[in-house]
Amino acid sequence: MIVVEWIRQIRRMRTWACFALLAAVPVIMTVATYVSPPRERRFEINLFTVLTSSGINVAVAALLVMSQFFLVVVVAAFAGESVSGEATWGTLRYLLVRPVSRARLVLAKLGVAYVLTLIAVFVITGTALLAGTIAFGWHEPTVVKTTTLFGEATVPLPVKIAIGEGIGRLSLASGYIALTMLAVVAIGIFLSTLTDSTAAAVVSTVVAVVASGVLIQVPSLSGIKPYLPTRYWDEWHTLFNGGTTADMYKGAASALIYTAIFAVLAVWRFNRKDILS
Amino acid sequence: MTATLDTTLAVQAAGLSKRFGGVQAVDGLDLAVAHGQVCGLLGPNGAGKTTTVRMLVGLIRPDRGASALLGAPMRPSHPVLRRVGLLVEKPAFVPYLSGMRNLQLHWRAGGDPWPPPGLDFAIDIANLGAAVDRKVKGYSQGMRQRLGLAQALMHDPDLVVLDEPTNGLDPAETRRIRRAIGDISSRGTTVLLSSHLLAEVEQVCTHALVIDHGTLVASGTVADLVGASHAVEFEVDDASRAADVLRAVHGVLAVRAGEPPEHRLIADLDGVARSEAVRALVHAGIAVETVVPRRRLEDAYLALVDEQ
Repeated sequence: MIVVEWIRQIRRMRTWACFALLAAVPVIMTVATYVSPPRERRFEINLFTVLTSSGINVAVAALLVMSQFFLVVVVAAFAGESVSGEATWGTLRYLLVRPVSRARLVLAKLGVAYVLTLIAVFVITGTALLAGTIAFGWHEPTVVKTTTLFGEATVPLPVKIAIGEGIGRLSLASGYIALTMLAVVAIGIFLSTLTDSTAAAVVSTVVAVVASGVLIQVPSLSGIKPYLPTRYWDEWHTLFNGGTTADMYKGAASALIYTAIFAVLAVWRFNRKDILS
Repeated sequence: MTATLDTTLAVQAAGLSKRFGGVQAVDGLDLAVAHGQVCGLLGPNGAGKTTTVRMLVGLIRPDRGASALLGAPMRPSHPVLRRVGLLVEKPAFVPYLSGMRNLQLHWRAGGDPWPPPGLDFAIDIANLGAAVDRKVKGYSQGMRQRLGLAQALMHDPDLVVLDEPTNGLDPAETRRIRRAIGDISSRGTTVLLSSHLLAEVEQVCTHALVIDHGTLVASGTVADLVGASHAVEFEVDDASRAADVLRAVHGVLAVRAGEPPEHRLIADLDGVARSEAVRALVHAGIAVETVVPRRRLEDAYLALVDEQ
């Protein structure tokens, strides 16, 4: 079933269009920055202002820009379509009487949607690294380090790190983002088993992620904040801005727990569903 | 519940019921199809045929009752479905893949190596020629239907369940599909064919189950169900006078009005030949236009359909 689902996705124009879109953004970003580089301003140093220092920095910036929303939409499209798409075509009923067990069908679709997600993250990091290196060279990347001056004021300062170290942190960041997206895949698959409409499944997945982001902003809801799925999504920034990386473990655990919950829910729910499509 | 199921039958259901919202789609349905039959599941649109078929193959869970295919009590994704070929409502394919690629994916989804044992026969039946390698997107309704039939047949199933296989097809395509069903049954495969067309069931099936409002109304061999009955319809110039004449003929059991009542009447003849009755009418000076033997199920079934 996994192979079959893989062939179904990979032979699809839409899959390739998604990857092409994901590749286009870092390239556009690189070209734009190359044409008009950010002006250096003292005391305003962040991961975008140091972008021109190395191809690795371009990749970091691309992940910063895209992991919040653009990647989520693409991942939601992969996951949300997987079951509801078959329902829309009517092929779902034929698969189930082949017979393919319902649990296997859901898990195969989750697996393939996640492989596509891994490729999506790799496409962003890879094209950004390539385009960035062509534009700004293969140099030691710059990270931002917060330093305390005169015992009171904290000031962000640019610090060079070794290329190997930079690549290591970039890989770690990509892996972390991929792991957080696993939870999105599981949520998307679950919502995909609820409806026969692909659009509804994809949109509601994106809405769920956005809603989580909005709830985090509400101060009076700080009590539930640690339990929201997107709470730890940005923790990988600490790899490059000198923060403490301890919360990345919590983020990884949170993603795995959300994945497990929604995968189980999807199988449970799909097992009980009357297939009317 | 499963204890009531007879495992020697190809298809069986006992007390099958399903409710959708406020609508009782299937209500305590009992049915049985023996091996080797070509059995029609006949009923007007909305009678519960598709819901029944979906329950029989485990796509819908019945609220009450149980069913079995080839002796195996049904539950979702039961392995016995490997011996069943299925066409539920319309065939469905991945539009951007070729017909052959669709068959391949469908087969491999079950974890078996390509090709399936009955592929050649199935491709033959589908009769798609070179089009089998073109994308399904460009297929006509008839081509899809035939590819769907090929998908249902490619693994040499012991039982084929076809739900409205000729719906929406032109007459030539319809004839093709019906001929194919004949070919399938001549190989010893049991066929359950749902249809709202009496003529289709009559033409293709050996047995029939008639359902309406989700319950079984009649069942038996097609010959028994739709064969000639004692009833004969006469078209005459003066129906009321003809009725009086026929009532006087020995062996005429009952006479009732036809449609329109002034020109048609229906008489049940028992032990008296049609020619005998015509002779009596003509002798009484009544002009006879046509004499048509009625078929048993027709009145009842047309009444069901007219209700809609």
